[in-house]
Amino acid sequence: MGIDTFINIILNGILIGGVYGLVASAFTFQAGALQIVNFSYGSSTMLAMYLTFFLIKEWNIPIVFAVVILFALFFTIGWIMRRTILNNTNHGTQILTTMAVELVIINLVIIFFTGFPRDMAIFEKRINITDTISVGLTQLICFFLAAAVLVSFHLFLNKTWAGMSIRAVVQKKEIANIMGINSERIMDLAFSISYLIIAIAGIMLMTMFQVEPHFGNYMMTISFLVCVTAGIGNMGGSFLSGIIIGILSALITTLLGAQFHDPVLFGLFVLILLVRPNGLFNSSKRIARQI
Amino acid sequence: MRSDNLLRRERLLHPLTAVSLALVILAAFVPIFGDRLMMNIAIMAMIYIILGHSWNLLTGLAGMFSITHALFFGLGVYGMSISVAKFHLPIIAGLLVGLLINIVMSAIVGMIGSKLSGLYFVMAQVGLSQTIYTLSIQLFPLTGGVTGLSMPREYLMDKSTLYWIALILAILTTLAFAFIRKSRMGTMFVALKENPDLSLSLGSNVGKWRIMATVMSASMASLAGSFYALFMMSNNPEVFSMVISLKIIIVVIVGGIGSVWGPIVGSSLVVMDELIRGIMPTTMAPFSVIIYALVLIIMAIRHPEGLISIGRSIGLKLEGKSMKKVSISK
Repeated sequence: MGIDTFINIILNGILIGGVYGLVASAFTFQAGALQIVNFSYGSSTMLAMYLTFFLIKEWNIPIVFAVVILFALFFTIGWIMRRTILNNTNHGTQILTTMAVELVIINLVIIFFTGFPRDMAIFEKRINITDTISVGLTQLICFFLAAAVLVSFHLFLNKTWAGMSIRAVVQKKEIANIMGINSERIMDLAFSISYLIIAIAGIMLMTMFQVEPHFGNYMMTISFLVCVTAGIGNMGGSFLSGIIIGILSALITTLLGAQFHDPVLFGLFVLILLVRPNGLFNSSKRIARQI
Repeated sequence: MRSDNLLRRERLLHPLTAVSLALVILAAFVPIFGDRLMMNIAIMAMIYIILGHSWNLLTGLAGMFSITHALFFGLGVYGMSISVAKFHLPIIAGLLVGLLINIVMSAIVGMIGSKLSGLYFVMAQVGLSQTIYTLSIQLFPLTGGVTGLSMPREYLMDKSTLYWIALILAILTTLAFAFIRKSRMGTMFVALKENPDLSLSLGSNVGKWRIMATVMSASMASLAGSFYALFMMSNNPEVFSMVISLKIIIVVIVGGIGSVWGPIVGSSLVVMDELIRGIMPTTMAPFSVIIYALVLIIMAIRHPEGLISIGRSIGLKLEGKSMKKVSISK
C-alpha cells in the first residue's frame, strides 16, 4: 500500500468525520447543556435520512422545498417531544421514554417505508489534487457545510437574544425567570433547534451512506463515541473529535477489514469511558457521577 | 397498635402467601386444560417473569440502570446453543458455559458500574451491547451469523416438560429475589441506590456490592436465556435486540419496580401481547411493538410506581397511611 492510498484514506476520513462531528454536536448540546438525555437520537437521524430520500427521490419534490418541509417537520417533532415526554428532569424517565420513542420511530418507518435499504446513488465527482490523490465533491461540500452550520450555531448562541437567553436558562433557571425569560418556552426552542441540526445532519448522511431502519443504532453509538471523546457539552471539541473518529474508522476499515470496524470502535468507546470519562482533552476534575 | 400487631401475627395465612399459593395451583392446571398455544404463551410469560426479577434485582434494588439487559439473556442463549449444537456437549454443560460467559460479562459491566453511573453507565452498556451484537453476526463459524444455529433434534422436549421447567425456574427466581430483598445484602443494595456517598462513608464496599448485584442478576438472566434456547431450539442475533430489553423493562415498570410482585403482575402484559399477536396477521407485528412503547411512555410518566402501587395505595388508605413515592432512578 503506497503513501498515496494512505493520504486518500485519511482525507476521506476527515471529510466524513466533519459530518460525524455535526451529528454528535446536537447530542452533546442536548445532553450537556439542556440536561435532556435523548436516546431516540439515532432513530431521529435515521428518520431524517429516510424522509430526505423519499421527498427527493420518490416524490420528486424540488430540493429547496424538500429541505423546508424537513425543517418544519423536525422543528415540530422536537417541540412536541419536549412538550409531552421530556418536560421532567429525571434522567431515568427521560432515557426510558426516549427509548420507547426510538422503537416507535423505527417501527413506523418499517410500516410506511419498509425495511428495504435505500441509497441516493449519487455519482460522485472526484476532484483531483494530484494524479492519485482525490476527494469527492459532495463530501467536500458536506464538510464545509457542517463547519458552517456549527459556526452559525455558535454565533446564534452568542450574538442573538434567543441564543443568549438559552445560555442564561442553562446556567441558572431561576435567575433567568426573574429577568423576564420564559424558561420553559426557551427550553422548547432550544430543543427544537437541536432537532433542526439533526435534520441537516440527516440530509448530509444520506449523500454518504445507505440507510436501513436500524442504521440509527450505529449512528447513535458513533455520536456517543464522539461526545465522550470530546467531553459531553463541548460543542467545538465534538467537531474536532468527530474528525479524529472519522480518520480512525477509515483506517480500521482499510487496515483490519470492515468486519472489525464496529467491535474495535465500540470497544474503544467503553475503554475511553472507563479511563477518561470527561473527555480526552478535558483536564477538569469533575467526576462522571455528576450527570 | 400492639394488639393490631398481635392480631396480624395470629393470622394463619398472610394474604400475599395465599395469593401466591393460589397462583401456583392455578399454574399447575395449565398443562391439563391448555392447548399448544396456551402453553407457549405461559412459557413466554414465565421467561419474562425470570428476566423481570433479574432486571428488578439490578435496577430496582441495586439502582444500576440496566438499559441493555438482553445482553445477559442473549449470552445465555448463545452459550447454550453454541455448546450443544456446535461442540455436542450435554445440556448441563451448555447451562454452565452460558453462566460462565455471563459471569465474565457481568463482572465487566459491574466494574464499569462501580466507576461510572447515570448517563455514562448507560452509554457504556449501549457500546458493549452493540459490540457483542456485531460480534454475534460477524463470528460466523462460531455463532452461525444472522441465521443462527439450530439445536439437534434429540434435545426437542415436549411442551409440558418445558412448562414445568419454566414454572420451577420462575418460582425459584421469585423466591431468590424475595430472599435477597429481605437479606442483609438487599439492604446494602438499597443503601447504595438511595445514597452511595453515605453508604460509602459508613464503610460498605461500593464496587464489591455493585459487581455482586450484576453477577447475580446476570446469572438469573442466563438461566432464562439457556431455557429459551431449549424452548426455541435455535438462536439468532435478535436476542440481543432493544425490543427484548425494553420488554423486560416494561414488564417490571408496569408491574412495580423494586417489588417481588412487580414482574408477576407485569407479565400479564406479555400474555396479552402474545394473545393479540396470535389473532393478528404477521404483517401487523410492528404495531405490537409500538403499543408496547406507548404503554412504557405512559407508565413511566404517569405511574412510575407501577400497577401494583394502585392496589397498595388502596390498602394503605384503609389503614390510614400515605404512600411513599418511588422514582425509576436517581
